[in-house]
Amino acid sequence: MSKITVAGVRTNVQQLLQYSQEEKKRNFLETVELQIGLKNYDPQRDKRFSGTVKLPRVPRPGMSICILGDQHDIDRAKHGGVDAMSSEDLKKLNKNKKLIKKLARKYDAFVASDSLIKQIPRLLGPGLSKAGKFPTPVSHNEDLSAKITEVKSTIKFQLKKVLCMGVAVGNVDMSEDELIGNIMLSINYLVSLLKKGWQNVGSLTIKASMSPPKRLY
Amino acid sequence: MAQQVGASSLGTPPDTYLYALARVGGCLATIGSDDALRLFDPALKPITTAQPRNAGLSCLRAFSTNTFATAGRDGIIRLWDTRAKQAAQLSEPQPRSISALACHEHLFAAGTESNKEGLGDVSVLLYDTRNTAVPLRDYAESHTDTITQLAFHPSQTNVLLSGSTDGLVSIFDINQAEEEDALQQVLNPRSAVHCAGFLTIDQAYVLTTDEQLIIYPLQEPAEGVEPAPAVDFGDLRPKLNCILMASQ
Repeated sequence: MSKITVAGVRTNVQQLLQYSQEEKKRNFLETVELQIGLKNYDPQRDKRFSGTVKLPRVPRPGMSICILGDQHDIDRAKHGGVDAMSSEDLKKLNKNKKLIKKLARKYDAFVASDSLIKQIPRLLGPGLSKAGKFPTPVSHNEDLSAKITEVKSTIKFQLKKVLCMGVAVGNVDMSEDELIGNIMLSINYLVSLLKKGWQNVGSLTIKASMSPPKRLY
Repeated sequence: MAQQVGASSLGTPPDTYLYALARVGGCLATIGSDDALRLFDPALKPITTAQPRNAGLSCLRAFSTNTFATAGRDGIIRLWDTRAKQAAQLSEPQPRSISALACHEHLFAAGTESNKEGLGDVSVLLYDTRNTAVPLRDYAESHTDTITQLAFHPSQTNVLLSGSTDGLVSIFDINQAEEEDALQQVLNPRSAVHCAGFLTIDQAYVLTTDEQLIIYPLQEPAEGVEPAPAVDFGDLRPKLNCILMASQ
């Protein structure tokens, strides 16, 4: 059972967008963050979770992606104007830690062909794992551009020892409905993972980078 | 259909969580959130309780017929003998908390915990029980968050699997001292790993903290052959009509 209504979220989103788009428009694209405060939760012993959820809309459109692929996927990537590298290109890095680090820094995320992904640890060692950017696999049957959109629209939740977490769910250039869609999906996904559902939720707040916070719950 | 033959709280204070259960010879052992290690018989009659000081027990594994190992936030791996009722300290205390443990013959694998937001420093450590002064292996590059699961391969005992909250499962050849040579495969379920292990000799399973189950083929595909796809069962909660998946 949901404890918040779309109408209630809409009012807050309207106010937030009004502030960030008209009253105090900034020189950069402000991110909208969802902040969750938990209660009756002991992260020492209750489940500490983290997970990823795919949002209906891409929250960070500027993310850069690189395809690590076989010939088929490199052709597909070129066709879609996405950077791509072959296993030969990766071999040329010669397991050099500095070069691999540089590669990992250059992109926000990697997507790799199913046929190549098993070789990646042997070609690059643990470099991409260490950077938190191990590639997402894509098979030849999947649509590459859909996969890239999926990677871009996936956000990560992480509950650590503290009882609050924040996650970027959108930006202030998005429409009201797009933001609401992302916010509602994130909340529902998250609450479903809590041991006692809504009884564990203390507060829900949305906030743009430079805006005052808006309390949803 | 299985039938319940007994139930007991084993004398734990209310609201205690039991983290793990292991069978050791003729008895059973459990560790709980009250930081106690309990030994009881199959009729659920408590045999003994131990509360190692500030241990923050988090892992429990059967080791041999009469011994089992525990590890915890104090960073110490302890070996217990059900006959001696005394613990032998196995590893040197280290500043990092231990969050995962696996044993095979004379080897212990331990995984450490990260409390940092974002990318943290964690290690998969390997100890030889005959020389516990220094870890045999320290793989520190392959994960960036708490190690939640470790498992040895059922037949190739040089193969070790590790799962982490960073959303990756790594497979190591522990005969290799250098991590970049040891890391054989990485599986990417893209969600924090709750449980993972070998299902068969060439399949691994992963259960994530958001309750997704995925089964991965492990063999190398032959040249020019489309690799066998991973089988993704998705969210198990609606399928099994439950709210939380707990065990392995």
